Amino acid sequence: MSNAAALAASTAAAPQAWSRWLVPPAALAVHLSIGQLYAFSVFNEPLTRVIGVDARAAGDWRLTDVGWIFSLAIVVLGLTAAFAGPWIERVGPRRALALAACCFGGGFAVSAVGVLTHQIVLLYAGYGVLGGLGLGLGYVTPVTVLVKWFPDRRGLAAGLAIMGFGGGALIAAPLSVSLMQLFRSATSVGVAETFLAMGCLYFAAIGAGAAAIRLPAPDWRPEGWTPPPGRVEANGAAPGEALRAPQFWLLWLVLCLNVAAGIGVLGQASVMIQEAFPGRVGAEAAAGFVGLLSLFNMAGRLFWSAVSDWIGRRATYCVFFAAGAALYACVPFAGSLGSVALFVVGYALIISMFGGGFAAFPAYVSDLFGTRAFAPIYGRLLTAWSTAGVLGPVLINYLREHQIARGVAPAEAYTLTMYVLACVLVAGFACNALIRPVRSGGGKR
Amino acid sequence: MKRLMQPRVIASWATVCLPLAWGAYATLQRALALFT
Repeated sequence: MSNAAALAASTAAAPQAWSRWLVPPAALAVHLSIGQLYAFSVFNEPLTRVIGVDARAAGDWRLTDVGWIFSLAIVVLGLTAAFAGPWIERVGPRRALALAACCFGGGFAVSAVGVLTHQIVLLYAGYGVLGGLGLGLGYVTPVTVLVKWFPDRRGLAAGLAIMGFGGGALIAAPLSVSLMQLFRSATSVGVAETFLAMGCLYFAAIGAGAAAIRLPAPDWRPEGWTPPPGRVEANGAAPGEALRAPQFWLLWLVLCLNVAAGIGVLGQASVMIQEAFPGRVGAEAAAGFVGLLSLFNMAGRLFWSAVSDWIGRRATYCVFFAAGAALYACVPFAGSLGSVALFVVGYALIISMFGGGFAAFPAYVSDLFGTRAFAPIYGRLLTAWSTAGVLGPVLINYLREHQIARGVAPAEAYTLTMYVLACVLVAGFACNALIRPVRSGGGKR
Repeated sequence: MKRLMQPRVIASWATVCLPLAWGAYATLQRALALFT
């Protein structure tokens, strides 16, 4: 079979004897690759001395110029996820993932040329736009397939893939540092060569995921499983119906508020622990704190998504918002008590629920709107992530600067911020409590 | 369970879990600096 024919067969049902447990590793291969996004910051500093190599020289890029690469990739990811859904449903997951592999791998290759010729616009176009397209397609597609294969364990299945997105940085960060050290020379910081190597690696990994993934037959069900009463199944809502339902907008707010509360902390974690414990926690230990939060972010995605299958999606988000608000309100006390351990445990639990909020979300969406038009509906809801990605850090940074300008000591500057974030989570609790099952045609049951 | 224990399924899981375990180990080593 030619490549084109193999891809065209992507919409065909998997063979009868096909094990659905082959799908999560394929999805994980994709998400572990695109999760590299969260480790992109390891390239920031080396990219500011591409000309000077040992130190920044005249003509070298500024850190603010380099910072736009990540921001652009996040924006394009959100836009692709929001608008590519109908196309993904039409062409099938294998073709969508093949394109994701070309875009993400190609984005690295174009960026490598940008570093070699010292044209930052090629990094914006390469990693930012082309890579961002690959990120959007690679994020939504595997989740779309998994919720169809695991109607009995939607939370766990989607959580497995989304755990990969959290875990991708754990692999990419040390790998990028090792490759840059390997390729570094007297005339090169080693970034261009590292980009090329990682582009090839991720092209192969996402390509392998595309080759391995299969869709179930439309009427496929796990052996011995019958849908629980009231569950919306394959004949769920169309995208237009979903947009008219209040549940869509409540879900949008639930995701936005949960992400906004966590993402600001994640971005400021290193500075925050050093300022909370001056003289006791240095830069290296703070980097360890960030690493620990990444681990809890990843583990939380698996743990909470499995819990959501057990206690239900709405109850799980109630736990996130209630426990999260209580923890945000209590963590400043850990700082004032001088307990590093309590501070770390508090934030680790908060970040585990932040990750869990991402992981249980696809299952929440498919529980309410079914799987017929899952990709377009889920993709549009992911705009809440992009919005929170801007709002969360702005909120936490603005409040901190406001406190310091009023003469509050840096060690206590985050106290008000934590109380505000606790209020954000209380608002999320209210939105989640208002969500009711959707009847066919949208609206409340 | 029978379908979960197929060699092909186990090999697929091992392929994706090994790099993840390596990344988690490297991160944990760095995190230990917080408590030592």
